[in-house]
Amino acid sequence: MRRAIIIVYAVVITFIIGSCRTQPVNIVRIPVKSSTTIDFIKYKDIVYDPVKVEKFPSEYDPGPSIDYFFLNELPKTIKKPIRRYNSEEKPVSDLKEGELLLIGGEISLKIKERNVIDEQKGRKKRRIFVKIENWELQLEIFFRDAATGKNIFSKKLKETYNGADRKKPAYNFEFLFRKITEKFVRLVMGLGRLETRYLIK
Amino acid sequence: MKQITLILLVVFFLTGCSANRVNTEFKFGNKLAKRGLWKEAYYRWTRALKAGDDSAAIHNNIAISLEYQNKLAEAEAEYQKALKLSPGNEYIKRNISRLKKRMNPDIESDFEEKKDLKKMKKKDKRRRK
Repeated sequence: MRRAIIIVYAVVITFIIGSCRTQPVNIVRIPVKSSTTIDFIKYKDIVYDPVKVEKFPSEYDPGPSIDYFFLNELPKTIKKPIRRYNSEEKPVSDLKEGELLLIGGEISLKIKERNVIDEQKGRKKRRIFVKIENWELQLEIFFRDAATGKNIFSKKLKETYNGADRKKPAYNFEFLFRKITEKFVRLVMGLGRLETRYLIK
Repeated sequence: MKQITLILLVVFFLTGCSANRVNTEFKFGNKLAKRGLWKEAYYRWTRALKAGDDSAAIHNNIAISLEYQNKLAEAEAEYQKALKLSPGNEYIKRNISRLKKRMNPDIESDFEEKKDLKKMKKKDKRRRK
């Protein structure tokens, strides 16, 4: 009888341990080098034409944050100054190839509202419907040789943030924009994108 | 009788030790890989492989480290070995499909990313149950 009890216990414990087992893989990210790299040294002058901002909530203006990235952070990474485009500059027809690199593009936002149940804990369990937002930020960017009009680099980058707090648009935007710029810098510097692989434990 | 039990004990102890060593090499390799030290991890896994641990997991992980080192053809061969040892493993299949996409960016992946991940999670849950 005792033996039978011990065996039953052993079986139960093994099942419990088995069910507590974590996922049999680790997700790792490896860099995949891209073939397109931009030769910034070749260009005498790099100019930033402010990206078009579309479909943003009226209470938040992402312009300063975007401009700060392109005019202050990106120059440090590429080790070359970038200046804002001035419409009163000399005409493009006077330029030669490799003289002026133009950075421009478009940034747009899609917001989808969703109702979710927020269950409050306490004596009386209340179920409240809360509105949350799913944000999708898309950055379409190009690097163009101003003389030839050829795009030497163009890319669409997309990032999503599900369950964003609608009262904090600045935080939501910064969160997505940082993610996108990280990807963008990796591509521009030729470090390549990061791809996931499954490492078996 | 006593001598036989003693010999058996020694044999068990030694096999246990060697298996443990292989396992520790493998696990240590995994830890290193998670920290981004892929070359060191590769060395550990190849040592475990030489010690006799010819498992799908080791071949799969070696393939990933080879991918990291941009040795794509060798990585594919290792993935194939892993898939031979564990033909139904979804994770290995997924890694192979991603490698193929990396080698030929124009081809469509065999897997639809999100749907496939959901299926894999469901299968994992079922296995655990």
